[in-house]
Amino acid sequence: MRLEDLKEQYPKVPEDIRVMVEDTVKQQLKKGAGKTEKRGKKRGVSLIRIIAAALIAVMALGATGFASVKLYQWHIEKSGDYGIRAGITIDSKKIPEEIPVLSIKPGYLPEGMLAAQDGSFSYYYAKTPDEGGLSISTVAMDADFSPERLPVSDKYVRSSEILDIGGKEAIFIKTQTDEDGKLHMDKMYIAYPEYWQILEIYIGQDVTKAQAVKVAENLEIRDTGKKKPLLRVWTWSKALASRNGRYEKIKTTASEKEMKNIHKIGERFTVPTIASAAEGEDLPVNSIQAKVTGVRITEDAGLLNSKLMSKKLKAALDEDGRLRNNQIDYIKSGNGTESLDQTVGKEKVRQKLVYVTVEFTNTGKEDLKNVLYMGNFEGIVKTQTGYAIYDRAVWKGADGADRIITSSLGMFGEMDYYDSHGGSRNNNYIKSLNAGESVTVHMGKIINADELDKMYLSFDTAGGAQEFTKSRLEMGYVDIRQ
Amino acid sequence: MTKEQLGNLVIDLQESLYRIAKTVLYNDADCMDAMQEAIVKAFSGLRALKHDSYAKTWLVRILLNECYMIMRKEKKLVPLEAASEQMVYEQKDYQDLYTAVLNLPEAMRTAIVLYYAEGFSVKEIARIQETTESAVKNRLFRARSKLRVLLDDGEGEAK
Repeated sequence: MRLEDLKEQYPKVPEDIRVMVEDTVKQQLKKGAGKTEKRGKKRGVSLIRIIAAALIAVMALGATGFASVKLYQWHIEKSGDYGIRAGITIDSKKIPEEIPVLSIKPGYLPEGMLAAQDGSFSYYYAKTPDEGGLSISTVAMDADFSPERLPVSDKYVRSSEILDIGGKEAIFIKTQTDEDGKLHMDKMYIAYPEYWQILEIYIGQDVTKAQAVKVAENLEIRDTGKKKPLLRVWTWSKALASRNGRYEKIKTTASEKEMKNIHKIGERFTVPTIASAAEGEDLPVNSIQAKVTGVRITEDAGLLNSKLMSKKLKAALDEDGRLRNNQIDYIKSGNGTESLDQTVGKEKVRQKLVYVTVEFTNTGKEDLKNVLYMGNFEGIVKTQTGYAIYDRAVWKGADGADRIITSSLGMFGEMDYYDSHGGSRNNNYIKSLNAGESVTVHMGKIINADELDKMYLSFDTAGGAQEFTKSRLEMGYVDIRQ
Repeated sequence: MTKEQLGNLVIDLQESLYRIAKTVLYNDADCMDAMQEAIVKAFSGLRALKHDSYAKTWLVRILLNECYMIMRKEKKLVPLEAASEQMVYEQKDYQDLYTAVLNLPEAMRTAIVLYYAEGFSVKEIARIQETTESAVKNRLFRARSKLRVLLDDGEGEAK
């Protein structure tokens, strides 16, 4: 074991990251210390899922899907009514080590659709920059997996069909992507075996099939003459391997001992967070204390500053500025192969705005800038053995419901409104908090009226919702139940 | 340090920055987010850098903070065996040592990578990891011991 060899064993910087680094540096040099255009939000569905679905859809065609690609042989296995398992065998000796870099330009876009400013092939309507639209990407057809070793699998496949796109076969599929099955996401896959790539088009709810087909038919795809090594591009095998990511098991119960740090309104306690002692550099700080000084419950959002309200918060209000009712659907999840998700119950509940006033004090000796603060509402109920996170689907739902869908904001989680903004992201930061100084901020959260008796408040800045975390339990919750 | 010098430093260090992000986050999309955020913060906070000689340490600390922010935000589990599986398909010529390092607890593997792959001193790593030099030495010692077990090394002592 020679640890000095470690450096050579790491993968090299992928091409897309190298490009991002160079572009970001250029932008910073050009704009000074101003804002940089960030890469867009991860849109709609993950690339990984799209890729998996692409494979499934292609497989649905049968072995003829890539008849022109003699190097490939598809293996398909249906899994239940809505699932497919499949894999691909490739003659690895014939796979090129480099693949062509393609230029992709849309010759047509639906009226009003804009190109994303992040350099990706994403297009969206100005009113809904975070939803829907079209995303186009390519995936290299590499050979690092086989049906025996890593079968491709996906669930919730509703339908698929073969289309002719300018003389090329394309697969158009619908999958159940929302919990109650009302919405379908469309995806299209067009193979370019001559370039060893598959083109993926993710089609949001706001784009019709006809529009998507027209976009695909008018795409201008050209070989730039440049080539990239297979190790530097996004490939199916990389995507499939990424699916192996695992997540922490969520802790939803806590003992009396673990929940010993319950604070009352008016009680001051320490809130570990992040701030900068000097310009720029964020550091953990333990000198901030918080005190809830007021909790107000109302249906009228008139006390909120409309300039600081998000679109979603505005959508939760009627014309008179009062909260709309929250439509709650109770969902029983299917397994994605034998069954899809089903709506097993519905109800409408009134919503309330919980408006919290909090005083943050810098008890340290150093002046601080850009002090991060957060407020999270957690539904917690007392049980025979301690405490449990309140899960409405399980506690109120019937017929095996295991999750809910809400039409509005009424649910536990992070605040919907903060009135103090700052920091690099211009959101929930206190711009400056000098040694010994106190600052009062206001936060708001929309809560279902029948859940006001379960709400606890946490100022943990680590994020997360509907779980007990170590940092939250150590910091403690403010009991603001009504 | 001027902005142009910082730009050159970032470009020169991009392989190192990627290795460090990859050590903490595994996932390339997360690595990209962390690296971009770190670069932006480094430029905006350049005035906070008092001595040019600390620039690399300073940049790495900003990057690690961004990595930890992403870990906390996404509640990502350090995927032990999953990470090993992932590497098999991520790079055809993956190596045992790399995979073994990724199986170490985060603080240990970061220390190992900073020390052996990136050439930082114990003192610099202590500054980066916001801990004491003794703690870094302890992490390196424990990491080497664990690696020896993970690799079932019959070829001799780790350096």
